[in-house]
Amino acid sequence: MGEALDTAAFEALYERLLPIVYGYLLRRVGGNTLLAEDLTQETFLSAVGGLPATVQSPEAWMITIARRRFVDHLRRKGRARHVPMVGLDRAVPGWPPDWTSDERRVTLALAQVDDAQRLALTLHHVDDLPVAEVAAIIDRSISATESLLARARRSLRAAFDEVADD
Amino acid sequence: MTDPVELLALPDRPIAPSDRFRATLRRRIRQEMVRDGSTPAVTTGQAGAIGEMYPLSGPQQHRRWRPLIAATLGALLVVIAIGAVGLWAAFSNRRETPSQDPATSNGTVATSTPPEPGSYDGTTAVLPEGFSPIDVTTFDSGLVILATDAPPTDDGLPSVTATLFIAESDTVRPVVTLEERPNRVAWDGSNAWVAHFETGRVSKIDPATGHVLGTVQPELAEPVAGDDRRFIPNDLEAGLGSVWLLTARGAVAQIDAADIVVDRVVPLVAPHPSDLAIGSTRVWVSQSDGALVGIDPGSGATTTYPLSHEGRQVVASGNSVFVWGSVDTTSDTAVTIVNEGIGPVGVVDTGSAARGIGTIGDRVGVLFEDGSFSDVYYSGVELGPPAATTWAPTARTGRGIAGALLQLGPGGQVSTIGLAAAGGAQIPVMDVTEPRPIAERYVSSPDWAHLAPPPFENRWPAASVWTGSEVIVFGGGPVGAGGQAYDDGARYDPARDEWRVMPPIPITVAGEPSWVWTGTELMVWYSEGSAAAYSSEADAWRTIDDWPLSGTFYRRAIWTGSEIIDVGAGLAVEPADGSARSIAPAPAIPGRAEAVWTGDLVVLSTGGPAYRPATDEWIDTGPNGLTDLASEAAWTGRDIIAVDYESGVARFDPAGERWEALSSIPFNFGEWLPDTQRLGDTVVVVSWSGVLAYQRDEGLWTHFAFPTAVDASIRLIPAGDELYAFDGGFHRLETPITAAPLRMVVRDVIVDRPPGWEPDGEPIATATATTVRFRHSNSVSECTVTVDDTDAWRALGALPPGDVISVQPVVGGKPIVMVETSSGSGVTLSWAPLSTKIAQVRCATSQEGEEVAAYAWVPWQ
Repeated sequence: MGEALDTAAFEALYERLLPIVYGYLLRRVGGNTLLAEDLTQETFLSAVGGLPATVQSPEAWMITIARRRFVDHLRRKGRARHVPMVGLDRAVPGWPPDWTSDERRVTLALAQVDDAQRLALTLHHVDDLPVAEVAAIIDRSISATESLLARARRSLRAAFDEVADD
Repeated sequence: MTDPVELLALPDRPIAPSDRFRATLRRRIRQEMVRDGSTPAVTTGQAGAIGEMYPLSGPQQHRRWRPLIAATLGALLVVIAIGAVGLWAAFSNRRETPSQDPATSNGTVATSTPPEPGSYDGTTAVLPEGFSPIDVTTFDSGLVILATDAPPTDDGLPSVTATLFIAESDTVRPVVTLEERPNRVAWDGSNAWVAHFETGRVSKIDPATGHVLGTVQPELAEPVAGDDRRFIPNDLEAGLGSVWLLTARGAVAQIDAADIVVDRVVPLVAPHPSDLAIGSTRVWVSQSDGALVGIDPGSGATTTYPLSHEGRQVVASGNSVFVWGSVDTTSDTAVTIVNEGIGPVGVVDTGSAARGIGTIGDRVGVLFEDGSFSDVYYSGVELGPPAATTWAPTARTGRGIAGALLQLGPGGQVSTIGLAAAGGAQIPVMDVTEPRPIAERYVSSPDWAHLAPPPFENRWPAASVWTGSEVIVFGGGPVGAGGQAYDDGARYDPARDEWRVMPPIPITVAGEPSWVWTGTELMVWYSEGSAAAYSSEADAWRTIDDWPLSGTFYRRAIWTGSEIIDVGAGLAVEPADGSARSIAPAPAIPGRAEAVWTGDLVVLSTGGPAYRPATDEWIDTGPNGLTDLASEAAWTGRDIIAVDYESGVARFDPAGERWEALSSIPFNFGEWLPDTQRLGDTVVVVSWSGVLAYQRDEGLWTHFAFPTAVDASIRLIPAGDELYAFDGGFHRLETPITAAPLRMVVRDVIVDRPPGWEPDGEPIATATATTVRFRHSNSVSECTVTVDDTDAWRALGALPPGDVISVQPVVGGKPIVMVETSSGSGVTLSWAPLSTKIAQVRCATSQEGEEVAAYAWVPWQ
């Protein structure tokens, strides 16, 4: 790894990348601004001193970190999967004004499927990772991941139908 | 019509966060860059405000919080809210230099209008001017407080002198001033005990006179440096007939409270011991290396449970123990809940803003950075109203995060309840004077024999069979991930408690395996073309070429006693040479159905079609209500019990050749492939919630103890009337699974509705949503079940003697009330809509005039 960015360079990057990272995370946490802020903060703080000045694509670098933070978040929740998770992190949706109705609905619907399904859906359908890679991330076999994805898609469609378009 | 799956593929778009967040994070980044040393110092502006809104990551955040207890020097008054007492005690094993004024830290430990110094009103004790608390504990009618008026020491050690105060009636009175840097206080029911940091001595104090009734000085078995054998106190607690002194130097001293002598010193591993709590049967010590140690007060014997996180603090309530600490090296924290009879039963994420765990009365909760306190409860094990019986929403706002968080919305309505992350809303202050009823589920703590470990690593899903005299475990793959399937196995001889490695399998091992036990051979195949058969008698494999079957992840092949039938492939196969014949064409078979042999029929775990070899015909057994994904079933000898991984249960009656849906498993059930096996007339199921037994005659589910932390890799191996378990180690159930009857706390509690608590939004209740259940013991003679439905209590029904009512407030994350009775001919279900907010069961008991009551909280979503 090369030398880390200095303060000025990092701050310039910060101004540019903050909306990108925040937008990436907000969509994945069901529009929960508080949670998105938390994860955004974790993303940037973990990049402090670790972002090489020579990195080709700081945006890709930061999105990779953001994805890890998101996966870690759901994994941590996953350890308590048998504990009721009643929508606190679905609360307080903060919709960007230019989001379409479909964007709001699918984001809300995605937030309503359970964590394991949400993680699988996000990694495969939003982040476009192949099933094998998703399986490796979520520590399941490929067949179990495919099964999970099938159920997740069903759950998403059901949730989507129930989400009011307001 | 829009397919939401396709919408997921929409590209991400930049979104500007709030200006507040943007500015705050910028400051945090600057701070981190300075701290990290990656850049010269930069002016940080109002740095102090940042940590309040966005917790620091890593260890430094704990340093920020630690001074909470001692950080009162310079304050004229110290106000201790009784609600923080348990937390206070939990936090008090800190020795850092004070740096934060508690008056500004949060509303839990300070009030803006403090009462008179030296006063106590039952909820707030005010120390005399100039004193700051070091440690505090409770007794029946008040508080025992160790406090000092000495200035802080330069070396960060406790002050040389400290005064013991008793807060009782309406005053806070000094009892005695002690030296040797007193730093811990405990109460044994009659007297106070004080531990001294400087010497490790422990003194028993008469609270009325202040006389020191005796002093004892435990010593480490081995000196730490030179001849230093002092117990440097980390925690001091009284309970289970003794006084217990913990030192991070690696020991617990058990002190006889009457004779004031050391009964025993239990060695632990330094420097990991961090905190101590008194359970109902054992003393518990959390360890920073990720372990919880239970100490038997009678023998001093220890039991260690590994944790998935650091053990920094531990508290106990009822028969449950709660260990809190950081997860890995992140700023996130978690609580592991341990049932004293069962072992670890669950882990609750408590987020990055949690600052400690403590008790308020019989509640256990997590204190958060903003000063809010949230109950931690575990719906699969114990439950009770998870929030206050009296409600007093405050205007406090902040980042209440995780735990069992009850949250009032801006309008005062209940908007959320449960375990999750959020913040920014008002947090109710809980009235700790009201008791909380606890309903316990059926539990069993059978003995397990720990046998010789297998000669290979843990694996899943391995072929595992009982041959009649030995256990064979073969194949499988790495636990928890993909990877190359294992090609080795071993057989266990229970007479000699020995494993013998099997010879190498002679076929290529790849992909999903299938296997059957024919009574003499273990047949294993992976892909069409070849199979291998292991003879336990000859201890040798043979190869069958031209094998017509492929392996499947879900069990499709069974052994009828004369041939292998694979209902998925539509073939009956002769194991000797692989010759096959087609069976009658199958109707559509659900993709993940598992096949079970009844002796007459090949039945599918998902219900529907079943195959009868004798007549080569398929019959329809009807639906069983289970999901067609990941169901599992076991033949009990007279019927089949099937479960799915959404906790559904169904029974197949071979006489009527039909399925019937049963009530779902009354424990929350995790999402993984269950393993279901027969043990005599009991069906045993492994799930996220632990190992469960279903006693079919009683319709009773029992959560029973397993030797290690339960995870997906456990394989149960029935062996006649015995049960073996393979989880990397190897165990045998030594005693029957005997369900302990449910006990409700006999206490009549009035639950007040929270003010301003009105529904918000459309109810989501339907008759198919999840449930709340009540269950009571047979000692109860009559119960009535009512729900608070909108504005009035509404009776759902009367329960005759001996009925079973189960309690479950939230299942699968969805709240609803279901009342289930199991009298007479069957199960009766009554559903209450989601507009219900509180469900109540009142039962008369065999004791005249005695009444039991339990409540389940039903949140509005």
